[in-house]
Amino acid sequence: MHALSRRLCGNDADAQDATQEALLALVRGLPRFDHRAAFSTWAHRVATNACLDELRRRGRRPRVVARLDSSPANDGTGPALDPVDRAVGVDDSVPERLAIDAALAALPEEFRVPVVLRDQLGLDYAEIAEVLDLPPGTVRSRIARGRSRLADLLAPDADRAGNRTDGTGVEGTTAR
Amino acid sequence: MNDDHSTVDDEVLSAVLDGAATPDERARVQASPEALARLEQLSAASAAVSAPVPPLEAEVADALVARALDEADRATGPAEPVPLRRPEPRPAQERAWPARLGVAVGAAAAIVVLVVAVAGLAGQGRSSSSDSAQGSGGQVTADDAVSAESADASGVAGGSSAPDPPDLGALVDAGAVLDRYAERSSFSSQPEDAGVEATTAAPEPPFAENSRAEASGACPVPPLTTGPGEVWAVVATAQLPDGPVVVMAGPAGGPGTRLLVVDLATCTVLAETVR
Repeated sequence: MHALSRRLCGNDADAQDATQEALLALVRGLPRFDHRAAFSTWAHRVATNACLDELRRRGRRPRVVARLDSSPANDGTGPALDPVDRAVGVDDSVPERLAIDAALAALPEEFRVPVVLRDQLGLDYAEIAEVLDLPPGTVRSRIARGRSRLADLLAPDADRAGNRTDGTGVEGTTAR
Repeated sequence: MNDDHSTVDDEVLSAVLDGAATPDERARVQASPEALARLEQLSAASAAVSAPVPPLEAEVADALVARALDEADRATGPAEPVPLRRPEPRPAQERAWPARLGVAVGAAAAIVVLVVAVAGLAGQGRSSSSDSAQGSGGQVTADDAVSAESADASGVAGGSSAPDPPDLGALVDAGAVLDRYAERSSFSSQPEDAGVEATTAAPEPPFAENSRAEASGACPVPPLTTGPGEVWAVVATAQLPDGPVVVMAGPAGGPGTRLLVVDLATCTVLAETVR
């Protein structure tokens, strides 16, 4: 649940809050759990919704916790750059993790959620379809589009990022 | 969708990555160097997202769970004592214990060990019990149901002369013992019931503490059934400083077995778990 929240929220603090909200939602919703779906499916759905609700409540997209490139400018559409986050201790894997967070944060929610459910939690298309109440074909398509954008955002040549995608453009800073 | 690959788009490549592509789609990807290169990029993106997330620190995780549980307590209020229902009579031929009872007994064994330990410790500080013939008193546990009910039939040492620590090996045959216990319980709790075979002699209570509780009217013999198809079993008993308790096993309403520790004196559930 925390892994899901962490990937969807983009930083530890929001993920912790989202995890708390998800746990509370689980506790509150448990009496209404009717066993029509597997418990894990239900729990994933509750956690996903709790996390997204938390983000919506804050009125913003996932906030990545450090600056990812050297340019001082930020167009305001991408991950917020929080000076406090620069104090985070850095090891070799931190830039990579931040790049992933930034790339995921740049994805629209409709793509980010199925990609995280697939790649972080390992759910298959059918399970994701059940969690998100979508047709499996839509899940497959959204995962593909999400990965496509991620691949462009994470590619060494990030100039392609705004050009290769399917017309919706790429928001925010790119991960380098 | 990405149109850079005229014959293989990213959706097909993504499906290949997930093992969800058709053989034809896989063949098309394999035949295109450009598609393979793009597949590599998508694979890298997928691997990046799948990288393990550092787990929460244990203290933080505990705090989150504790807060959620507190919320649950506030929402539902404190746990109230659960009144025990009297057993429903069943014909003797239907008293075959389901196979899952063996699992229940096995699961309860762990609790039995705990009860034994607690009872043993409590017994060390206690004076001899007035209704116990063991002398040392206190440590009556799982095999009490065995010994009190089946000593005459199975040769297991009777409760009146068994001061030794409980023999958990007796649980192996708990199914047969519990059948006897169910029969005896039905007699003692519902002697007026016509569905139960009558005996000429008044049946002895399963154990002395139980009869005391029964006499007080606070808690008759613990239920062995709570509804159609539900079978509950007393898998252990113990004499704690505050009074006798029994460990019961039954259906959990889902996977696992529900275990209850019931205070016979107050007829309340002291602890409950699903294993």
